[in-house]
Amino acid sequence: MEINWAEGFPLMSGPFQIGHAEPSPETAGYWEGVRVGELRIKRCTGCGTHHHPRRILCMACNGDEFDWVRCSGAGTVYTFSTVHRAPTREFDADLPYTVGVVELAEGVFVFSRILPPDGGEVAIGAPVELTFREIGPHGKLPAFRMRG
Amino acid sequence: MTASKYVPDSVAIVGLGTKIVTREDLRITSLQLQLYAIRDAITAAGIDRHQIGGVFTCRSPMGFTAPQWNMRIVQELKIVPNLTTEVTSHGAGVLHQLGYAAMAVHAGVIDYAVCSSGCTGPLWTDMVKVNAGIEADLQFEAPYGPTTPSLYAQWGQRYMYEFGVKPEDLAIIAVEARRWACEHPKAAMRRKGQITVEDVLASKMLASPIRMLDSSAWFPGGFGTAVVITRSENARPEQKPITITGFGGGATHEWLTERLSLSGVEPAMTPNLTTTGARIAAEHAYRMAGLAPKDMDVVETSVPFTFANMMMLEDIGFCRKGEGRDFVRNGGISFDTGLPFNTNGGYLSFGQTPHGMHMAVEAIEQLRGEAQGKQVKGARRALCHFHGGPLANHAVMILSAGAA
Repeated sequence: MEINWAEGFPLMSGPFQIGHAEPSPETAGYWEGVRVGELRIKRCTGCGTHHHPRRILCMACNGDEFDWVRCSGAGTVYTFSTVHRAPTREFDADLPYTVGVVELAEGVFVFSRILPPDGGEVAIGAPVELTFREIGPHGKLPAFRMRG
Repeated sequence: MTASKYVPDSVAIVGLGTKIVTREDLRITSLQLQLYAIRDAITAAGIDRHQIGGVFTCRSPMGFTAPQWNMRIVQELKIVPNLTTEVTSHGAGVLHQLGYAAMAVHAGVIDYAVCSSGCTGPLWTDMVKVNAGIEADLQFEAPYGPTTPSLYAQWGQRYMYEFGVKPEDLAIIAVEARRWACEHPKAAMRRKGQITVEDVLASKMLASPIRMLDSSAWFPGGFGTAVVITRSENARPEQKPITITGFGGGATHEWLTERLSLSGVEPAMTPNLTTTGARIAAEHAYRMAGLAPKDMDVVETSVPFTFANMMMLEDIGFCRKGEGRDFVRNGGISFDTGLPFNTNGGYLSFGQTPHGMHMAVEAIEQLRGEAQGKQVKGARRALCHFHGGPLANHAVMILSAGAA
């Protein structure tokens, strides 16, 4: 299921649209990056502060203009959890899998999949690098693998 | 932190109504559940329903999602309240509604308020799946397949790493909770009997480091609760009034990853996953009440995992940050000799209800000397902590007996 996050998606009750979920034009640049295999984060054009996962106002300077910058993808594992019971059937094939937070070199935190090295385990503080993986029903997404 | 003008104990809970349904009963809706509880609370208070000037409710229940939930309640009650609103900061809002009501009656804007919560979600929906859907950021977290335990586990893993907490330390919390639950006739896990640290460590891993017995059990049904609130001067002894001594909140985020981009403000002077808004909520409540943790006879919290209970013992002031491990190891929450903590078994063993108000019911019953499980002798002060979202929103309320 491909969702256009800029447009969000309608919430239906039978044939009736009863609302509209999460239209998000302010994150379009992130998803354009994902499509071409890049991890992009927001940078405030006023003060240069990096932001992720989304930002409408830069609370460092009260600005509201951002550009998108490509991340190196280098970071370290801040925290993680290995899932043994999936939320829905779409994720069963991946079990067990690790979801976690990576602290990027740019100073922002990213929630993602963390791939352990062959025969190894994920650990807090371990250096990781960016990769892209088919995950669940959403197609190729940014993920991180431990640098071995 | 502002100096509150609320007068401690100037507002009282003068009516309590509860309605419990289990999977063995007729399947009723959350709307029915809450209305039965409201009717019984008004009856217990002995007032005419037209005296009610404020109708406050929890957020729209899971399994009966209706916007403007409070208006669904109002139109059933056939009254015309001056003030009415949902209080929607997840589970924290369920307790916070009593604070909003207390402010309104304290200020004399209204004389009586009714506050309502309760959800029969577990009878109608798969709470495991539904809950994961509202706890994660739809764009930046949910596509990776997190479950509710795995979102909380992000905090737990980091907390254990920073403070050297071992799984066997956390297991003690589950063991003590079960001992309380075994005393309570309505506790979901009572029939399973007592457990040991070894049982917890051998239970199935859900999302590391959280095992099945580190995790709350869903209460197998619905637990509706309503309270009637008025100024203490209106209270009568036959209402068995319990006063609101102080309250506070601390809301930091909606989704986990956003919590890590909060900094430069307490409890996140630097980004962290080890201190929650509960610390702020508790500071507000203690300051308003003019009381300290040592004054509390009973403590009830609504967190659903063992590690989070340890964090809350720190954040609500029973030990310093990082000392929860030793506090628990040294019998700090021992059923026999420690702080009376989650005295019905808590989320871990009484069971988790979607709104958590059963923990406030437990506090009220303890203060009235009417505990259905083990009665804490001479309990005069109780602290309730409610939270919602992945440790996102927090409410603390201090309740007292004998001050009205």
